[in-house]
Amino acid sequence: MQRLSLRDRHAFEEIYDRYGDLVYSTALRVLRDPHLAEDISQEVFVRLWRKPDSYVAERGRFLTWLISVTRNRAVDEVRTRGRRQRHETASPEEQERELPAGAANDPALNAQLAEQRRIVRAALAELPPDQRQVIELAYFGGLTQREIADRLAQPLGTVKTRIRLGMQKLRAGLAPEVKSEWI
Amino acid sequence: MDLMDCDQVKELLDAYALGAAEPEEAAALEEHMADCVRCWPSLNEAQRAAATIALSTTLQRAPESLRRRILADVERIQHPTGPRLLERLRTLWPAGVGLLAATTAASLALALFLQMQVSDLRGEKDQLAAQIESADARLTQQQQVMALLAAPDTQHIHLEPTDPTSSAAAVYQWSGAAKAGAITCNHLPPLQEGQVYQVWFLTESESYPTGRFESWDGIGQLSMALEDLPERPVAIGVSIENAGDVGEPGEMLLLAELQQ
Repeated sequence: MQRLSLRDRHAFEEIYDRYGDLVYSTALRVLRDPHLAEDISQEVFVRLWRKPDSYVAERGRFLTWLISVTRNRAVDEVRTRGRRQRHETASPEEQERELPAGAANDPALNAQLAEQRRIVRAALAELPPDQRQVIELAYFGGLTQREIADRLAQPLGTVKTRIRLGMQKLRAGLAPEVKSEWI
Repeated sequence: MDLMDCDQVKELLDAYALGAAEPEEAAALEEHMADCVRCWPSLNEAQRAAATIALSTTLQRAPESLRRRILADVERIQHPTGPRLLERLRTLWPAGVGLLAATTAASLALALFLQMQVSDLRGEKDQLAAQIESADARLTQQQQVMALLAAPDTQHIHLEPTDPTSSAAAVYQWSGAAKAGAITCNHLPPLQEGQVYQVWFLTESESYPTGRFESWDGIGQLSMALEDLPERPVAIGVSIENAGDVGEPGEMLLLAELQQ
């Protein structure tokens, strides 16, 4: 990041090669549209080049920031286009083909991501379905707690409780397994 | 929404990290975070957990076109259209030497200042690379102005201060052949933090922001390509605006009517 703030183009290309697939995949998961996912990924990386200082190291890790920026920008796009009703909690395994490790820009990184993915999916699978549902509606569907309550015809308090409990369990399930240097 | 305390923030952190807080809740939480360093670790933890969810996503290969598009954007940012315009202007240089006018002195002074600044910065270490790039861009623009002054059909008009007590002055020069113009200002009032000088082209009904510039010791300059103008302007003006504000112009500092 230090090199990036000095407009080191080689450092920028390294970051793209390392995280480009992940950014694109995150945008695609939210948007369900390859062209839009490409547009949003482009925006995210160009913003990173223009304003590398918008990442504040003291407030968290770079990957967390990059994923959050991507997800938030993708959700903004969904909201703008009013397409949020299209996707809810459909399992990604049912809709997408896995990228073979050897085909990735960074095969070693891809293998590590695959391991992290297995762990996160296992932790999500451990959650009660109603808790997993509200978490995925929020994170990938871009719905607020109130909108989720309306969608599911549940009291707002119930949705809030499900989110809190679900995230607590998720944290507990992930803590020993997801490598801290990752995210 | 009222200010949140730390307990209220902790209640909301997970929803916020998931992007599920209502906008007014999110704003109140962010306001709290701006002042409460103690809550940062909790927010960091919640955001890490939320971002972890993204790792459940099946990894897709980004199209090769995405890499090309991003790197092309980076190239454009690193090397804006300046060199292309400069090359075009350079071809006009020999014919127009005699048209160097009074503003040339200010232009030369500014060019020398910028050249010295770039040279000084080049003497430093790598951490000044970004500053060098910025100064280089300004120098390139300055060179464009110098080339414009030499174009065969360059015309000029003086801008007058709207406040008669102001000593600010400016000259706008343009060339139809080069499809380029430049404004050179002197005795500009100092800016407050976050302000810029904004150049406007005014038509009968609209104001078109044309470009922004800073000043050095009251001298400022902006060169511009004229091919993008949406309609024929009747006046050109300079105002002081906030850097993030691209709406309607504030009060004009300098103004000139353009003859049709």
